[in-house]
Amino acid sequence: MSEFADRLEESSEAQVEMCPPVAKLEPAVDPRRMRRIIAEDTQWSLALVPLLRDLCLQSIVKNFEEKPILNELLPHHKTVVLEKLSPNLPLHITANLITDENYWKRCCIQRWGLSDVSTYGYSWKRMFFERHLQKVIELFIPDVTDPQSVLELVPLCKNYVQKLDITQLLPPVKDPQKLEEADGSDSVSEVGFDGPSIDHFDFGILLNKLTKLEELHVVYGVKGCGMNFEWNLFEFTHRDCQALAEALKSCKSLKVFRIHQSKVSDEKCRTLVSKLLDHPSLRHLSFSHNMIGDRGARAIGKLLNNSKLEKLNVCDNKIRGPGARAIAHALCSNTTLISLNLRLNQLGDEGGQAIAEALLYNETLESLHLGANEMTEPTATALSQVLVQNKTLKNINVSCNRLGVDGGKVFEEGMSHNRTLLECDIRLTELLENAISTHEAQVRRSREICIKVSWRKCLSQCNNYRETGDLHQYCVMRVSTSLLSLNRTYTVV
Amino acid sequence: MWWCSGFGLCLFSGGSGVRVLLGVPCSGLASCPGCAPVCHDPSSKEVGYALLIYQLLCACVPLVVQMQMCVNGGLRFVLCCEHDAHFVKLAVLLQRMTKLRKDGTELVTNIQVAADFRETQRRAQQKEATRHRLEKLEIQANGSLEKFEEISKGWDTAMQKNFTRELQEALDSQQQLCTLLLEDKDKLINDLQQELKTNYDQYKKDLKKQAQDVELLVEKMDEQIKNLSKSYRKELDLIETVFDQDRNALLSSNRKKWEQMAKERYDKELQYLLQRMKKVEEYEVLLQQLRIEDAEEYNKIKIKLDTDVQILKQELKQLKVTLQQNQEKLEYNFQVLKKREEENTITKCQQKRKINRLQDIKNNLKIRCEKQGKQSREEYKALGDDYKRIMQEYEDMQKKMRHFVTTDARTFKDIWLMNESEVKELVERALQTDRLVHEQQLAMPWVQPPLPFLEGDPTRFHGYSQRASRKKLLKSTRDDAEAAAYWEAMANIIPESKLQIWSALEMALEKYYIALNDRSKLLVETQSLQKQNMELKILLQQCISSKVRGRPSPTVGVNAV
Repeated sequence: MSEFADRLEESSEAQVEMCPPVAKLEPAVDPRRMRRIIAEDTQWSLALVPLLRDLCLQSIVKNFEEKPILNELLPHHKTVVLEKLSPNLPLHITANLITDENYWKRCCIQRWGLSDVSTYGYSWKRMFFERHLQKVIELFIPDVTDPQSVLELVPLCKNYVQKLDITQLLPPVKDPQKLEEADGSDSVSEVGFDGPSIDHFDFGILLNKLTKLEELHVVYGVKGCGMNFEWNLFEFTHRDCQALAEALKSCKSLKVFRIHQSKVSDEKCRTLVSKLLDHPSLRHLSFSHNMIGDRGARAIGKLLNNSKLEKLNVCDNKIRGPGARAIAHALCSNTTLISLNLRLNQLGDEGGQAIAEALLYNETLESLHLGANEMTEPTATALSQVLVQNKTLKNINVSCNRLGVDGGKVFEEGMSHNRTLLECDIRLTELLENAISTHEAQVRRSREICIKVSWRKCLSQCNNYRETGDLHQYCVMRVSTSLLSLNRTYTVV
Repeated sequence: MWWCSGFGLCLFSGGSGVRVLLGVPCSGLASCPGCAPVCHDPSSKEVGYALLIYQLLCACVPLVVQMQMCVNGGLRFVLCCEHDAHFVKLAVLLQRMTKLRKDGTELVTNIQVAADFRETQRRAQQKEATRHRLEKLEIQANGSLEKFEEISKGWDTAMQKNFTRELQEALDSQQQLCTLLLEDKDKLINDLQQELKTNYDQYKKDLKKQAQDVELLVEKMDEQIKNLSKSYRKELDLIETVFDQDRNALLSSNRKKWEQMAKERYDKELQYLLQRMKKVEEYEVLLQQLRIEDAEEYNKIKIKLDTDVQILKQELKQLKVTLQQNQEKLEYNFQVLKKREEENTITKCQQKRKINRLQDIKNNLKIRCEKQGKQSREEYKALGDDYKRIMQEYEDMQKKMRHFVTTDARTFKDIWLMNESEVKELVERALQTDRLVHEQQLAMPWVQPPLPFLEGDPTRFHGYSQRASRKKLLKSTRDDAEAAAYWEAMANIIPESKLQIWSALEMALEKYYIALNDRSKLLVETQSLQKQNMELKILLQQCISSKVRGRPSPTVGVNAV
């Protein structure tokens, strides 16, 4: 086909040379058309009989929906066709056929305007499918929308979707008379209770099919409901929870799971955690802005040592002392967790002390956020002990806790012995100003010390080489070890 | 400036040392191995510099340095920075940038922390208020329960009252109590509603505050971004100026180098030009010479070639003539050949006829051949008979020959024995003579030479005859040789040496003989002389006797004697 077009192209070119150019339109109709050059139109050429190749390509573009011919074309013809293809072509044709990023860029820009592709791994195609699927799920109305409409998308997008950021899930429509409004936000539960088959979109039908999904963010709520607010718009029912938990268990590739602002209670948290136990790939877990209490915290503590979690975020929940104790107990023997965020809970001194005690044994945790947790002096004392003993902690945040002047002193004392901590946030902890400045100085100094320590290690090694007379090895060692220290400094800054 | 440092990443090499990307300086470190800091004066420029670099390094600014070996084996890094002022500015700016970034982030996060703090406070208040409210509600509930019990008791008493007025009174009091209870409840509801309202107001305030916070946050972030971009721009400008200066310096130095080199080149070119001109002149002279030579040669060759051409022309003419002749000859030949062909056809006919004739002859000859064959067969038969006859004759001849052989052998033996005996006799005589010569002439003892053949076996002749009868010629020749040797030995019974002796002896004897002959002659002479003497004496005596009678006769003889 393409060869044929090529041959025709040659012959037609020959013809063109022979024939004088013929203007297709009459000059009187549009004087602009008589110009030899039109700056805005790079394709413009005065009057030539269109090449058969161009006609063929045009025809291909025109009939692409019925007869998609793309991979059979020559590369430069392919680009021409791709440039001219409409972004509105049905997905079942384009999804697995077109890999050209420019086409998908046009699709994205047509649908959503300018967008930032860097958050999608610099792939427009991935961006298109992720956002498309998100939109479909976010506008899914239980019992109204056909689940098949979502499932149809799966074979098209399963190779490209890596992350789903679901910012709203619509509840079922309870009033059959208001069905046509279809938004769900208006439909209020005034009328008789029919019992919908599901309460929200069921992830169970989707997650086990998306083999490349790594990240899932979910909010069980409605965006921008305005004055139509109803409590039932923000319900996360047991049925939902059960379905979600099963779905999560079935999705083996998931690395990041985040459910926030969804009123996750203790019971629901336990349900979710029970299914997440021994998940093969889960690394980051976030339950922020929920209603998890001590029992939920206990479940999370159990999860910590039965998974490969590296990052746990349970900020803005209702965890108290007992819950914190459970988490602290898990921390004692944990070897995977790197970052723990307990901001805006109610740990109190009981919880704070428990966590501090756990940190004496833990050797992996690098970042700890204990901000706004109603902690006071005893916690400060415990933490100062941690600062003296712990060698892995790099980042600690105890802001918005009433540590008091005495607590501050103890804390400072602990800090003066520390060699590894790089950042310490002690804002709004009622410490004295000078204490704060001392802290800053301490922190900075500790960073310098950290660098120096790494030099020392290298230097001792270097000296060994120097003593054995291997000067070359010595130089290499110096150079390579300095790289390490350089990297280290870099990550610090 | 010397900068003693721990580590560097090798970046690119060239120049005096290895260029590296410096990691960290170590002059301030006690652990620096063997490289003492260059300067100990804390106020000195070097230390200030060192501090700057240190800060830069803490801010992760890679510096380009040169790595050199210290005398004592350590490594030194030489900072490759020639523009101090700009470098310092850059360092200060970088430091400021770090601070700015940090401060900005802090400003932004401050808002969040404050919000967190407020939230905790609010929650505490909320908790307190809830607790308070619950207490109040409980008290209220207890109070109203008492009142309700009172009222229900009142109903019992009212039921017992029989009189209307009493009943009325009781009912009134009941009603009063009820209104009291209702009022209490209303009050409580009012209170709660009031509280709700204040809470609502508070919520609205909070929302506003949150909006403000968000605005503030955005503002701060904008500000931060503006600040940062401003300082980044500044930094960029500075870096650009530094690089510009670097570049300018490099350019000027390069230009200088360039100019110098250009000048050198110009000089050299000039020199070369002069040299070339000189050479060109030389070459021109040479060329002129060559040209003249060539022209001469050319002329010579031309003349030679002209003559050649003429000769060739002549030859051509000759060739043409010969060609003409050849053509004529060939034509003639052609004619001849034609004629010959005609003749040939005729001869061919003749030959054919001849062949026919010869065929006839051949047939005749065949017949004759058959006849001849028959004749020869008959002849063969006759010859066969002849052969048989001759064979018979031959056998007879053989018989005869055998007979003759035996007779010959006998005669041979006889002759042999005769000759042998003769020879033996001769040998014995020779030996005898030898012995005589030895014993008588030479007076030497004679040793008899070995004589094996004299005792020769008598079978010899028998074998000889036998062999002869067997007619083995080869053997007979050998026997002949043996016989020859035998005879030879017989002949040589007196060896050569003895023959020589003999010849010598002979010669001596001959000499002796001659001598003897001479003596004999002399003896004869003496005898004759004695006789003459005697006669002369007689004569003399006669003369003497006669003298007396006459005159004396000459006496010659007497004198001679």
